[in-house]
Amino acid sequence: MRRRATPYLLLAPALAFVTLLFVIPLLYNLVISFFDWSVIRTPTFIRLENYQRVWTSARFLAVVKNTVTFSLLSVPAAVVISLLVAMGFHSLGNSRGSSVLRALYFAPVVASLTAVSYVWVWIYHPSYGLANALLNGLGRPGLDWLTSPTQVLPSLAVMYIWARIGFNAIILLAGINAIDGTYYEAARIDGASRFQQFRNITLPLLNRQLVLVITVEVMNTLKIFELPFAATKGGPVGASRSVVMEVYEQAFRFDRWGQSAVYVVTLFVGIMVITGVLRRLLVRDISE
Amino acid sequence: MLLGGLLIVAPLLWVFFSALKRPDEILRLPIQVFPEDFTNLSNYKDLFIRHNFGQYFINSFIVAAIGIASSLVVALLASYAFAFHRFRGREALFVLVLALFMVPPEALVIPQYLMIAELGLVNTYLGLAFPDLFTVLGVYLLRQFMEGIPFSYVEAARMDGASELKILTRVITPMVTPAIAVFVIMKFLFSWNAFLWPLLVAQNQSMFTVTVGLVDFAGAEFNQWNLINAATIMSMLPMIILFVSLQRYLVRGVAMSGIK
Repeated sequence: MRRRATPYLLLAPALAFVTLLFVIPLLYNLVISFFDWSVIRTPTFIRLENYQRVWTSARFLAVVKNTVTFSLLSVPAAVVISLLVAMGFHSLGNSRGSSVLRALYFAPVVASLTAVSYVWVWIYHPSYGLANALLNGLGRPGLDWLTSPTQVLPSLAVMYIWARIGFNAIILLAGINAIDGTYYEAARIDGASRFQQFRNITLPLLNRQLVLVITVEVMNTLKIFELPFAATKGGPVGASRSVVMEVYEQAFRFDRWGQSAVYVVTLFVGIMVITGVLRRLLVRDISE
Repeated sequence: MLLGGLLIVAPLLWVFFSALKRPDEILRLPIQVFPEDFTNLSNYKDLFIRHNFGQYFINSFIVAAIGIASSLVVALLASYAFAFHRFRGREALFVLVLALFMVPPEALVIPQYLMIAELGLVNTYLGLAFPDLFTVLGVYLLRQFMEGIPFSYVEAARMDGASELKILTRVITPMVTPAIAVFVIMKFLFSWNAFLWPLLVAQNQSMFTVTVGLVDFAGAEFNQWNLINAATIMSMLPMIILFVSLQRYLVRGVAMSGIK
């Protein structure tokens, strides 16, 4: 007979780590958010004051606006391009050339977002960068890619999309490859156009992977940190400062850990609500 | 498709070529795409001889190794329990573990930092590996794979009187090596590319990981683009090598994480 306790013993390390790395930090963070918490003074309990201070500050509204704008600029484009790339790969089939091609698209995925930052800071360089050289070659004036408050978020979105296409395309491609080819054959026999096939076969049968890609991208863009931190330091004049950058700055620069914790709570709840709503809206249960 | 692919790699090639240029060459107008001397590795030498990149590499490898070892052992034990034991609360516990997928690591860094500061682990390898000691992905991938193994293997071993640990290490683990490979590669990728956590924990230059070192270096040498480009390429090199040699596993890992 197996001992009753065995499975629990096997699970004990995992549960210990779940407690240490997830449960305690989440609760701890909530506690900090109710305190005037500093590393040099004794923390004092101030109830909801941090929430009130943060949520009514102009800085909070600015970083939320920047982050949401960045997300809106990045996610739809990243998803659409990734889907097109995945469909392109699917139609190419499994030839040798296609695996080399896949490697090209996937290459930026292995780069850290810090490396991605410097790749593009150099491309966007005002005098020696490739981007402005190309524009000048086309007879157009160069752009202030990362130095203009209105241009900086689109420029960062380009960097982000570039870095993520390969990853998303692989997930979507796995989903497309799993679709039974006879559906398309039947649709063709019925005279369905390519667009109709896409709408009525590909999209619904790819629903799970699409929802996954969309929610992951929404999450990733809302918690963006490396790109604005390394490429622009949140500038110019705070135009690219993100929520997570503010988490870092409030704690480590201003020693206002309580307010930093409020940003964390806001981010966490925000991501939960937004991805939850998205799932509600997007998930289609298709039972055959 | 080919055109798109070239467009995607073009930025990387541009940085790769730029890293081979001399300091005066890189600041020449109009800009040249190709370097004059393709064998000019002096920028790379500089990173290791005059700067600290050797140390950053060692640090990143050590931190990744600690995280991979710990999370793999813990995940093997847990996924074995989930796959081959029937016990009360099994489903609920698994759902709980999976739900942690939804918790963004960024939401945990501030309290986690205060915790390791309390434990005196700032500027230590253990502190740097702290959030990586356990990963939900490992439990998920390995359990998924173990569910595919017929129960009779475990039953037969139990009949022979083998202990549970022995069954796990001798019978099950060898059968899930493909999943372990996928997990190790994914984990290495995440660990190598992590930035926010090591930025908080590695406060001495001697403890910097590659990503933190890269940002520190670029901030200090903000005009030496020949060196920054070389540092960027260097920081990606282990991943590029891994990617080229193990592309199938990586692609599979990504694809598997999409099949939920």
